[in-house]
Amino acid sequence: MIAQQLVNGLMLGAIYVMVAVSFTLFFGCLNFLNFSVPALFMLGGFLTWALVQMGLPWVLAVVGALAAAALASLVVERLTWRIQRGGPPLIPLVSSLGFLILFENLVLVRWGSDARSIPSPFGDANIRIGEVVVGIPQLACLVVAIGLVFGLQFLLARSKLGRGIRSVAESPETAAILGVEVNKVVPRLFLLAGLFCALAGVMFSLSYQLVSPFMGDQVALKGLAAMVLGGMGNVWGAVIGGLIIGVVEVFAISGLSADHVNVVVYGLLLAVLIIRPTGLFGDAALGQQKL
Amino acid sequence: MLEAAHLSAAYGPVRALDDVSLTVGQGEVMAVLGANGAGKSTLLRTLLGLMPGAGGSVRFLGEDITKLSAPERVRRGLVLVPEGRRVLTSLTVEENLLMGAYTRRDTPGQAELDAIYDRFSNLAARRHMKAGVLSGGEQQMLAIGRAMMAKPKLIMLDEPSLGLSPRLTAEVFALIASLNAEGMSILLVEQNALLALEASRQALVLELGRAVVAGPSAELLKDDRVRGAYLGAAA
Repeated sequence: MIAQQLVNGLMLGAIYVMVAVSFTLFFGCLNFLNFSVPALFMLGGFLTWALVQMGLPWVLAVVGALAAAALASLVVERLTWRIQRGGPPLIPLVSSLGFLILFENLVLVRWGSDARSIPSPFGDANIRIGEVVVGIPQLACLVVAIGLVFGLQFLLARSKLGRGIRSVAESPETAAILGVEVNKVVPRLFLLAGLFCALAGVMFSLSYQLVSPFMGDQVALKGLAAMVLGGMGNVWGAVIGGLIIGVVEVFAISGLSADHVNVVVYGLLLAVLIIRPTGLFGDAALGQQKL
Repeated sequence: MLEAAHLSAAYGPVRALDDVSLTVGQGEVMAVLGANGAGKSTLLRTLLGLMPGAGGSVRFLGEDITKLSAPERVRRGLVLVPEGRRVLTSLTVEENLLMGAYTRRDTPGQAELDAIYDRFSNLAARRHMKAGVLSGGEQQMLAIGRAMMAKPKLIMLDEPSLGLSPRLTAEVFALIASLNAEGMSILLVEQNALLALEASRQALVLELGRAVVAGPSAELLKDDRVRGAYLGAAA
């Protein structure tokens, strides 16, 4: 029973990991708390449903939803980050909050506010390991999430784009002197981080088979909590934070009740922050120079 | 090889550079002297294309680069070693060197890195350490090595001796001399006027964004105005 809950928690945590990593990319590289992340998550999940409704095959629907979310992320880059760079950091934050509301309500206007159930292409496929039942889609999400985080870390650590991103993260001015086109590197980062959370949205909709225009809010809030729990700006911190929150959430539901989930999760977050204000893996210097 | 005409630049309403022209010949060292705030760093930033709204024209290797972006200028071999070194402290020494080659279309090979390490043995031992742990002198060497990774034709050095001990300053100037001996053209901004004049063939003195004296360095060394203002001699 405990093993089953642990497995369920880790699989839910995989979704939070993806969202937390997305927040972390924006925050760690650009010092930008991008509040449009929940909307990008929702666009990934919701548009997958919408495109399947329109008769597209699954794979194309997922690709289309990811493309739309990527485009939305680039719009946010162009209209918040690029225009407001160098100004007070709160302004892009508030603009990105505006985009969150805009994107959610555009979807609301077109498709209504009802939660829609989305049929899973995998059916109820699962495997049994002893007593533990593991859903195939959820397992796939966990594997994909962890694989992508490793891929991302490799990209950041080893590739030319990764070095460019880290240079811009440390000092846009120095990067410019070296000939880095900041206005090309930053959109790529928005693309990457946007795809991460949009893919999380797709995973969520395929695993839990429910989408709505506001599906991103609760999940992204937990993703944000996962980032803070792990230590802001640290990718591995986001991974550990996401898994912890997933597991705690599942145990809170089974041990107490669904009503207790947020009390337990955010209570834990507050408790950790009181003991370690920089999160589990953060150090004193918040934000930049963490990747 | 570098010809700039009638350069002007401003920070908002504050004019930092006013009608400055200069020519750096192939294989030549040119020094730019001046007090703090005279516009020396602004001149280099303007030449690199980092000053929005700058006026005037810049030709490099016979090509008009006035409208080119900084990355395009770096790719053509016009490279800046900025004031205060500006190494990327969260990247390793080797990653800093690779960042120097960022605008290149080819990938720098190990042989190129090894050539830099041969020249700067301190960097070789620390190649996988974060650049933030280097001493000031080592950071200056890294900044110069990083510039060399761009395959430069002309290196602009902004205050390379700033904050360095006399011994390290001498090392930096020996390095400048050896780079120049290998055929590198150099535009040197330096507060230490005596060292700069001795290391250069031509020199330019900036005051409040304007070029007030220009000519062969040997003559500037004897110029009473220069001696009084920058060499600490009685006018």
